Amino acid sequence: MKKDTVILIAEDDSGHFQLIKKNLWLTCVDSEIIQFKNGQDVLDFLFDMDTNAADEDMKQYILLLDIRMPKVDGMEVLRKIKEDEKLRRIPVIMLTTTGEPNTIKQCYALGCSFYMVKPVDYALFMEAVQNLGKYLSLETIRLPFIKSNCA
Amino acid sequence: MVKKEGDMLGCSNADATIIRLRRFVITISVLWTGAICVSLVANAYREYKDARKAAKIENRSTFNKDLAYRRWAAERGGVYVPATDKTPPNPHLSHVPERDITTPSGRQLTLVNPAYMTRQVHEIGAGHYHVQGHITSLNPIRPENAPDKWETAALEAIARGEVREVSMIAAMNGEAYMRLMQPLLVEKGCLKCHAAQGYKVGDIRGGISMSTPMKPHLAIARSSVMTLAVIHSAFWLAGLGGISFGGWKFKGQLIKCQKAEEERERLLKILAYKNEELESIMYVSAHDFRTPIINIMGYSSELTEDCKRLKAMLKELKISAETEPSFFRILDDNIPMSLKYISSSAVKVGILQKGLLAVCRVGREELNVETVDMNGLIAEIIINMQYQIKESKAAVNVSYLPPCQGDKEKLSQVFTNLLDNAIKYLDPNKAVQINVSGKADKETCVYCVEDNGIGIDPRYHDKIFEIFHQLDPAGAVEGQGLGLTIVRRIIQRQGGRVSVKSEVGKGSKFFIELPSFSRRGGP
Amino acid sequence: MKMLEDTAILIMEDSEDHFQLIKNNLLPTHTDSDIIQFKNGRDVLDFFFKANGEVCFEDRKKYILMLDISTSQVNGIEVLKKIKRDVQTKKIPVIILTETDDPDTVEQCYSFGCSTYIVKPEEYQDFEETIQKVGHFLSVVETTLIQ
Repeated sequence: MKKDTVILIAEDDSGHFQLIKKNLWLTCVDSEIIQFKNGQDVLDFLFDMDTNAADEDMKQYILLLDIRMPKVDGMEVLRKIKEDEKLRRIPVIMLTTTGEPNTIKQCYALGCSFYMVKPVDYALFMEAVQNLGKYLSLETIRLPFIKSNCA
Repeated sequence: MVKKEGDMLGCSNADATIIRLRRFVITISVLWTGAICVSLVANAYREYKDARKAAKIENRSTFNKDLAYRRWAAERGGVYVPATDKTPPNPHLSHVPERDITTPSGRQLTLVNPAYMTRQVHEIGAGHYHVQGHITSLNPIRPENAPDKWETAALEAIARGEVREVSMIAAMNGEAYMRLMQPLLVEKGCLKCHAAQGYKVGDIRGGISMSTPMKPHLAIARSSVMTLAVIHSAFWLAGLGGISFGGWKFKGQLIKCQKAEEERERLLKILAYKNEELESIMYVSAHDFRTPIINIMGYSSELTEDCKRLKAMLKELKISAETEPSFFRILDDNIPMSLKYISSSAVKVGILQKGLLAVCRVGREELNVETVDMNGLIAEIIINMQYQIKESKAAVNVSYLPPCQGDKEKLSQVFTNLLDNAIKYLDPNKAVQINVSGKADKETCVYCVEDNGIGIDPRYHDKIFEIFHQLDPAGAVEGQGLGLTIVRRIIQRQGGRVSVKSEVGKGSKFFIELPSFSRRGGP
Repeated sequence: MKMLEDTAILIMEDSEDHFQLIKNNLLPTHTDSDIIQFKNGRDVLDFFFKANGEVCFEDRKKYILMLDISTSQVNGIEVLKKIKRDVQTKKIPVIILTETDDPDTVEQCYSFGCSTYIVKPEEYQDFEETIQKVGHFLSVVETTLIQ
């Protein structure tokens, strides 16, 4: 994966965040990883970006989004991102504990790219996150460029 | 959802019932008023009829008495009375010999014939009694005896032989009278005076008319009718009062009933709300358990890995022979044992959490109720369970199953769980035999899954449906104790029932009752 | 591993070779899934929509769609647009798997709502590896029913 890709992880539980980060690293993901502890922080980060910044500041983002989070929940974050003309291009992968069919359906209807359930069993958890990591590290994967002045 | 049952009083739609009740009360009142009126009119009519009858009887009895006196006088050829101014010799009897005689003492007596006598009696009567008699004839000897208009008509009708007597109410001097005209037939005694006119015995010589004024009779009738009217009014009012009271009482009951119904609905709403709240709490907490469980499991695995790495590193380091065993005891035994308990407990909590979530989900997921072809459904399940069926060498026998109303996917889960249990709890000493059967009537379908497995003690028949209940947790059969809980929740949500018949060593029969195909518009 | 017996993988790919290669490399992770080939965009749209635009497809199925946007006839981007515009079919994750490496096309596909854009690697070995990774990833992804 290219170095200028930033993986945004919205995850209120630090334990989960560490486990996710660790397993992504295990698959040689060398992208920058930023954690957000609640939905509002993600929205603030994305919507405060200067989308008219110079080309050299353009970055590729991918968002891993949990649903149950303080302040603004993941579904609301997803809705707001997908309603925005520019931000909607960011691939959003739901990574959450809920496997509720209704929630899955709602997220896809809102426009998430993929929906993943965190398995309780750690072996499966590792497999899931590592498969995600390997997928995101594909040489030929192309992501949209979002202009940004953020580091 | 609670199906609304229409009860006897129609509590559920009390407003409509109150309108119906009002209509009923009005109808009954109208009918009651009508009945009272009819009774009053009928009674009044009878009173007036009686009055006429009484007048008639009075006429007739007076007439009969007159006739009797008259006959007595006629049979004796008249009577002699002292000739006075009041009773002068009858000029119409001038042809009768010895009309006037003198007693030895010299008193003048004159003959009074029946007609004369009757007339005189009538004249007295006219003064004293209200019944007026009048002797008359179409061919009167005495001109004063000539009939009036009514008498003429009556006499003519009798003479024509149309009637034997005439009796009716007629006006006389502007007042109503009951009048009677009876013919006077010529008897032998009559001929003494009337032979000269050429009459024979049996001829109609004239008539006696009797007139009773209706006034007193009508007065009696009127007063009776008044009494009747008062009594009827009293009854009418009492009746109306009774009806209104009854209606009012009933309405009160209805309103009470309606209030009770409203209260019941309110409580049901609260209950449903509380239930929903509870389910949602249960669901959310069941759900939130996942986060810490993932951490516990994840980090104990990480710790295990770290221990291994640490051990490898320690092996490379030079440690004194004294301390080495205790290092490795910690790394080989203590830490792994602690981690084993931590993660096995986490696994257990994880399983419970998953089960709880599954049970919650049954209560939350939308139902997709349709007509379900149960034969197809069971066939599909059997295909999916082929491996387990073969493994247990079970003979599954499915007879014709009627269709029912339900959620296909959920029902599939129900029967999968039941068949799964039948296979799980098999009796190792018997060839496994599972029968699936069903029957339907208008309202419900009952399906039965029967096995010849180890059976269930009747003491535990209620327990087996409880969440996480396992009859023999340490036994050979592994499970979460959720299958039947989910079965019951699914079936209850679809308006059905689950029951079990079983005894230890005699196998089990699970009955699933659901709305049948013919019952339209599900729960 | 999660069972995917409900999910059908629809692949719009006009090259028979590529389809076979994709299919063979998805099979290990999707033994129970239907893997269906569509030769062109018209067929994909016909699969989902009736002539009058009404949605018509098998009920109670989950789908994943892989699109080669360079396929002739109806343009792949058109297919993506149509699928993402319909309330029901927009819930299907769409992976663009194509030869085109044009940044504008990439941006366009993401703004129309594709899930990921992957360029087919030129080397056979890399292609196989890429598809296997896609397969492994898809095996841990939840999909949803279309009704």
